[in-house]
Amino acid sequence: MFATSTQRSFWMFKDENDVSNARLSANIKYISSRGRNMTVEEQELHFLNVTEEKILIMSYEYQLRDFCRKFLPPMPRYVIGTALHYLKRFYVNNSVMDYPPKEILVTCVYLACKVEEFNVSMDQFVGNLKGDREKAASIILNNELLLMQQLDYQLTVHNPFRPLEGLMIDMKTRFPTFSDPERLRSGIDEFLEQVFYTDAILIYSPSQISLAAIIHSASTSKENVDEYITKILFSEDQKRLLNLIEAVKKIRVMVRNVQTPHRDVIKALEKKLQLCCNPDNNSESPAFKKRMKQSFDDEESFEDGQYPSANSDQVRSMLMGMSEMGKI
Amino acid sequence: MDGNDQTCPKCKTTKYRNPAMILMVNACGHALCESCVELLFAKGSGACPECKCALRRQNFRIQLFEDPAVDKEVDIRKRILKEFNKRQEDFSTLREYNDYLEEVENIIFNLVFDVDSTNTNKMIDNYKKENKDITMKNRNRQSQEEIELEELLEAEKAQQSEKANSYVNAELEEKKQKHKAREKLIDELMFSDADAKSIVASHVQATAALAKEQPKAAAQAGGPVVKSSKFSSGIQIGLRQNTSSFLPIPKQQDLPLFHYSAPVFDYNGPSPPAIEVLGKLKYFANIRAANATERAGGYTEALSCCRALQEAMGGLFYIPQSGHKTAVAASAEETDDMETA
Amino acid sequence: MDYDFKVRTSVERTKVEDLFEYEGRKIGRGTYGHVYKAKRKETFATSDINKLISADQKEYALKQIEGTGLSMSACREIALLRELKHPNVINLQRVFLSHTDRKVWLLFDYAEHDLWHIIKFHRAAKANKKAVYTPKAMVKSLLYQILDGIHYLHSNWILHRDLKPANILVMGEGIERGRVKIADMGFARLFNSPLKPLADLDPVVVTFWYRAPELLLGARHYTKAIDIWAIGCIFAELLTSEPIFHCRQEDIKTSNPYHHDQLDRIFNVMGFPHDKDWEDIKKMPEHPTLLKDFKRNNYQTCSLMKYMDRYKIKADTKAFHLLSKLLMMDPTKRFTSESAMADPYFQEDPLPTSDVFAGCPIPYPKREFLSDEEQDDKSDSSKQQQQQQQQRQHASQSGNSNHGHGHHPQHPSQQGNMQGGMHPNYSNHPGHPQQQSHPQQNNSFNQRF
Repeated sequence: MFATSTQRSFWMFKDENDVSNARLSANIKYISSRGRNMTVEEQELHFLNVTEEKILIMSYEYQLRDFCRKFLPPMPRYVIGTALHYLKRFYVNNSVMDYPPKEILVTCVYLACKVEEFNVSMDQFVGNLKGDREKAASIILNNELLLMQQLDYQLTVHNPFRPLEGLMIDMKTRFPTFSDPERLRSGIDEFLEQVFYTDAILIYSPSQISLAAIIHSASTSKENVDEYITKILFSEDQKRLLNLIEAVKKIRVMVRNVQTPHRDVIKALEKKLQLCCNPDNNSESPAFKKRMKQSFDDEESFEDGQYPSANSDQVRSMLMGMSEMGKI
Repeated sequence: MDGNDQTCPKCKTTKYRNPAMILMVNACGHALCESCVELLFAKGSGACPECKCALRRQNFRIQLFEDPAVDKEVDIRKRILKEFNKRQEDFSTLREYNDYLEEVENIIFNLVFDVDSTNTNKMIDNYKKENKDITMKNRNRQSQEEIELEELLEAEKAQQSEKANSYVNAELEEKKQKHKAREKLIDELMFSDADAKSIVASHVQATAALAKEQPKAAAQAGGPVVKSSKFSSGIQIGLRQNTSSFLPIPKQQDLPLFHYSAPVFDYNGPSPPAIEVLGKLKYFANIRAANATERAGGYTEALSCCRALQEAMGGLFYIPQSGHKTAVAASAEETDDMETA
Repeated sequence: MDYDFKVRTSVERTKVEDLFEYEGRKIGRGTYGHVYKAKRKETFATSDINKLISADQKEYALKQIEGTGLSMSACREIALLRELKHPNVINLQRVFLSHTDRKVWLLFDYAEHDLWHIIKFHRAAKANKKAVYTPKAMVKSLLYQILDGIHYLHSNWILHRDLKPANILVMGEGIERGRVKIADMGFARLFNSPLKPLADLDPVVVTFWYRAPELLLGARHYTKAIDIWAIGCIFAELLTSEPIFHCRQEDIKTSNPYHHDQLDRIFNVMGFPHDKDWEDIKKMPEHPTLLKDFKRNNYQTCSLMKYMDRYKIKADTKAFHLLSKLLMMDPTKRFTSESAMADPYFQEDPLPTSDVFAGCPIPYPKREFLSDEEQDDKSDSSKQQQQQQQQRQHASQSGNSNHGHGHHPQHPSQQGNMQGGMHPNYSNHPGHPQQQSHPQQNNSFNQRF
């Protein structure tokens, strides 16, 4: 239940400012550590600021959704929802410059599949990716543990989809004056898709979001479900009604303000990212490989000083192992 | 006498020459080393090489004492006492008991030194016949006493360990209390508006009061009542019964009872209708019905309906709050603090 | 390397072997991995004097998950355990990841005992006509706390699906003395609507003896009633020291849920269900097979009442009444955890206590350590012998497919004094991957605490 969940206890924010502040601290932390020897102006030029980061993240959220939409076997939407939650949570505490979003994105989807019991083997999974599949597998495996740690192992996510079904059932049963709520479906689905690009999922409860979706869809068709809410849902709790109305309003505003980032803007930001990103974490860079080698040499348990990303045999055996585990 | 000098009369080996040699002794009191015993009986029945009396293989025992004569006496004594097992309680006067004991010693002496064996044996047989019942009774008494003794020992052991445990527990409790008190003090100092001195003073008072309570609590946490079968004077209590597996519950008033506190599920939303009334309220028209097989397995549409409704209603009252900690900070805390959820 | 990176990786790289002492203290081994009894190493740096003074002397169970990285069930277990908080459900304290060898470690509170060992102890004592001193309300308290824990899980729409005595832990001496902890959520699931029949994903789940009849007859959807049936089996086992539906081991690898022998055993105890007892039984997928294999007449004289009567549990007792309601054949008629907890059995004297041992000394031995070499002996022809006086010293452990501080079957040892009628103890039970511990006499890690 959401009320007792870790989601509510640890991953909720007071409002959009609160979320932005958290992102800001992550951003500042990164810049101050890597740009230690720069002046403020130099830093501004070289590094991404928090707004730019936000735009970038949104573009990656779109990419995630695209990836999942085309995924085979077809991915249920609650898996996508969970993956998006993970992505958002990760980049609330970490800067985009620090960890490459492309890699984290795939890892989020992979982890979400496992947690939500959507059975895919590693082979099947990387089959949906373009490019070097082995490399992709090793990237995912490398990042999986990092992602879990950054999520503090709180992997259970409550999405708005089941509450939505509950509300629909309830409306059909207790509010028959509104004929055939199924008419609202497409509007609802679109709303729910958009809401994941906002921070609403980090501020409001999933049932509030699904109720907002219903209300929004109704109003776009010039219909009204207010009576359902006031007379039936909140009939005993009038005081809380105001709070809910406020919440729904804010959620709708957030969704309305979603702006798909422009392609050129994204391109420019990507370029900038390439320059200021952390080479230690970027698996493309030779510095990363060097670092991995070093860190493994430090470890006693790793005898041969091999590291997964370079040795394809090891990756293959890992793939075999993972695919077996992935099956059942 | 040094053990190494023991010699087998037959083969004359000593313990010195063959350290593994084991001397066996028989009813007649003469010793033979193990290998000689085997040799003797390999050829059929055996006769003791010294006294020529008929021997049986079974009767050879490993010599416990250096002097085989002692072994012989011990053996005879054991045998006799099995028959002559009367106790002091069976005699009306002490004098009679002592006479009886002397008689037993005489018999044993006679048998050991082969004095007047025929008469002695006759006496033994007579005694056996006359005292069959008492002998039987005493035998039973003996075995029971052995059991009781064993149990008493066990109970004592249990009591001891229980005491030790209770001390450990009491210590733990004390430590816990101290810790709690310290925390409380810190909390109070941090949050209360009162004067720091007075807080500390009241705290000191509270700890003193607590210290007085400790010995009381420790005493109460003592072990269970051990079932004893004898009064302190030695007289037995009641009939010996089969102990049941359950001990009577110790008379502790402050045993914490299991209080069932129904988990309070704060849905943080309007209460969904209870699962029992869903049908009546006609919810099922709007949900996929369970087919026959599913219903047979225990699944009903009420279940998924109920769950959907709970999820829908839950959280509708939610007011945004900041519950978030950055993950890095959280895990840094955890290296020291194990209580993080 | 820059400082920031170092700090970050040092936090990430808190190695479990740096923080905990667990070498040579293995207490469980199974397909899931290993479990160790662990204590915190005092070497971590802290300047906080108070923290040092009240340094953590607690004992923990450290579970190392088999294989590299995370399997789906490990993910699931972590995801679920992270959300749960209840005194009667095992508490996941922390998760450790080792980046280099991709091992996952879970840290739990240490529970000294579990029902598997406790029942075994009682069974051996019974066979040797020895008395065991336990409080009168122990069984009742155990049952109550199990129901409470399950009620919490069910209210959160989580099914345990693998309840058995080995998964019911009981805390030893300490703050939570005598508290029940339900463990091993490896098979636990969030209850799903029939969109996802759980039987499709994990065809082999619950240990046979505790498997509800609807599962054996091919039910495709798991419900809370399945957990309740298992609890009923455990209750009966606590009352009689025998697994109520004991049955010889079958091949657990088959994905076919139908098990003839197990059903036969159930009918032998409960009797063959009448039509009015379970109307929908005809709709079960394996019903035709059932009709083919079984004849009602064979079980005419069988009933739960008769079975329990042999163990002196009379039908007019509240205990029996509750048991019969937990072991109803029809899952829809079976008690729920709430109705079970409201049963008058728990209002009758003696009342259940939060310390199941009710302050009395704990007669059960502590866990013993396993050596690293173990023979994998799956033969169920090896009859295990219980040792009489060894009971208190060498409670050896049987391998188990779950976390609950796994156990090993007894090694066949030749102890001479087995008088008093050998108890027909069970051979290697199915569902527990059999692993024998190294003969204990040679076990250098066999320490008693």
